Amino acid sequence: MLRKSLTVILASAILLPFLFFTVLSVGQSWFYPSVLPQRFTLANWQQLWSGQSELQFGLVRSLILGLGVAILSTLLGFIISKEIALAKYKNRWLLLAYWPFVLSPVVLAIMVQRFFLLTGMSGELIGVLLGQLILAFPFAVIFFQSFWSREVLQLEQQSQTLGASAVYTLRHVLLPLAKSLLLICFFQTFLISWFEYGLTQFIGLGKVKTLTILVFKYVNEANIFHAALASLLIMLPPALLLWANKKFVFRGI
Amino acid sequence: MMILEHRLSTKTKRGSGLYLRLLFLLLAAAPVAGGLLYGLAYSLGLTGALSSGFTLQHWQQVLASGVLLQSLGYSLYIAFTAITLATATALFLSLYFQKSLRNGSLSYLLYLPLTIPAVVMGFLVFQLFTKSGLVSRVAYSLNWIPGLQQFPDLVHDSFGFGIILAHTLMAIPFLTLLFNAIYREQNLRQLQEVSENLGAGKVYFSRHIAVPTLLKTAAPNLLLYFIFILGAYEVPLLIGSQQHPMVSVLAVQKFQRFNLLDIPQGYAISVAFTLFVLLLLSISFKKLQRHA
Repeated sequence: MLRKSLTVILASAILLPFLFFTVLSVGQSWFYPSVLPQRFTLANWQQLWSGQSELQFGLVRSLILGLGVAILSTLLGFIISKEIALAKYKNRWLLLAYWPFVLSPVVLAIMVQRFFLLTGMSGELIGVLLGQLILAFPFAVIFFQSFWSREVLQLEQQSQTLGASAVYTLRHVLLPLAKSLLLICFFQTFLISWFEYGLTQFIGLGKVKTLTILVFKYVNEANIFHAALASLLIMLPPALLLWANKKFVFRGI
Repeated sequence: MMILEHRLSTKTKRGSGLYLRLLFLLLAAAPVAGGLLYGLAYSLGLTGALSSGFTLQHWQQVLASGVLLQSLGYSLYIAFTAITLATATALFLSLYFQKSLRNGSLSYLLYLPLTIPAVVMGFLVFQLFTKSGLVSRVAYSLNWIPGLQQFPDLVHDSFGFGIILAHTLMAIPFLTLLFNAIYREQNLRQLQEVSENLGAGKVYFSRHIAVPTLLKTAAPNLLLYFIFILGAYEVPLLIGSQQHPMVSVLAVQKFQRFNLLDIPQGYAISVAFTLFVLLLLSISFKKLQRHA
């Protein structure tokens, strides 16, 4: 009985943020001491889909950045991780990949901001994309280390010994073997970009308004209804994806 | 001819390998190393808009004012409290709800909070625990408080209640899933059966076998999560106290002031914090390796 009650409390606590933000996103005016907003409207959601709203642009910008970072870091990470896995001083190289994670993203952003200012990439989407790669790319390199096992490398060698070209081996041996890991890495690097705030704010100079930047902006403007909608837009896509296929995406954790 | 082709391909492979390693250095190591060196040079007056040659003045100002040490102490307090609370709760959840975490609803539900980033968690805690937040409204409607003024200061407070709560809430699902994975990997279920056969109770098993095993195996992850909270920015910026900034917030404050002389101090704080984290990591990992 106690276990069941605790499970219900825990499940309610987990679902509370989703429910709370959904109610706020369709709310309008919420004066104390009302527990629920005084008026409900779909105006905020309609604004998102119609016209050129800031939220719509934020969503598209976050998607472009997330996809760009995920594609580049997964691709580069997969290729370069093999080089690192085969390196003589593998552990020393890997230690370098851990560097960006030692620092707080915002401290890292402060340190590298000058470079982006000098190259004119500050305040630009490409600058933010490169900035986020500083976190996502080493993650991908570390992530793929487990893939380059002795068995995989032997299979690659065998394929080439039997006369297959490097491209054929990649397409028909390595990629099918790495398919699930590539997808997990893609998803996780997408999330690194999707959730990122510090680097985006500093390198983007507040001009590259992704969804996380917009949440902050709306909170500062005391526009809690838009902030709730932006928060939901951040949380829902990965939550739905997880709900649909938790085992696949998080296999290996 | 064959030998020449072989040599060429080896050379090309070596060449492309070198380029790949250079690309790795450029994307992963160079930004951090370059940024750290630039920050150090700026804080020592060797570069920057108002640089006038080598000086320790900015470091002296930062250290003499005590603001860095205060901020570091406050950050350590927040990180330590949050990670302790989260670890204790996650241990309880992973042991008490073992069955539900394996097959039940919690095995799915516990992944959902992982989709909440720090900025959203900060906003959520603010909306729930501020004086006019949801909890205060519910307390008022239940006649527990006569008005919002009587609701305690749980956000923007000196004790960092809001920051601790936000980080604890973010850490609990992650740590519970981590402990659950370790529980399976270390075959603790079988160990429990063995210990029960030998006459040990559930509490004895949890206290003397499960908890020490889980904590010992998860120690590196706990340390990394501690460092993650130590450098937190979004949550303390949203719901932290103005008087007690955490280190990242303090560094950014120095950059965003109009006084250009504050910028070298911002770099000094950033470099000092980075060195502190590196020192903490190297000491802790050496200790962990010794105990492993």
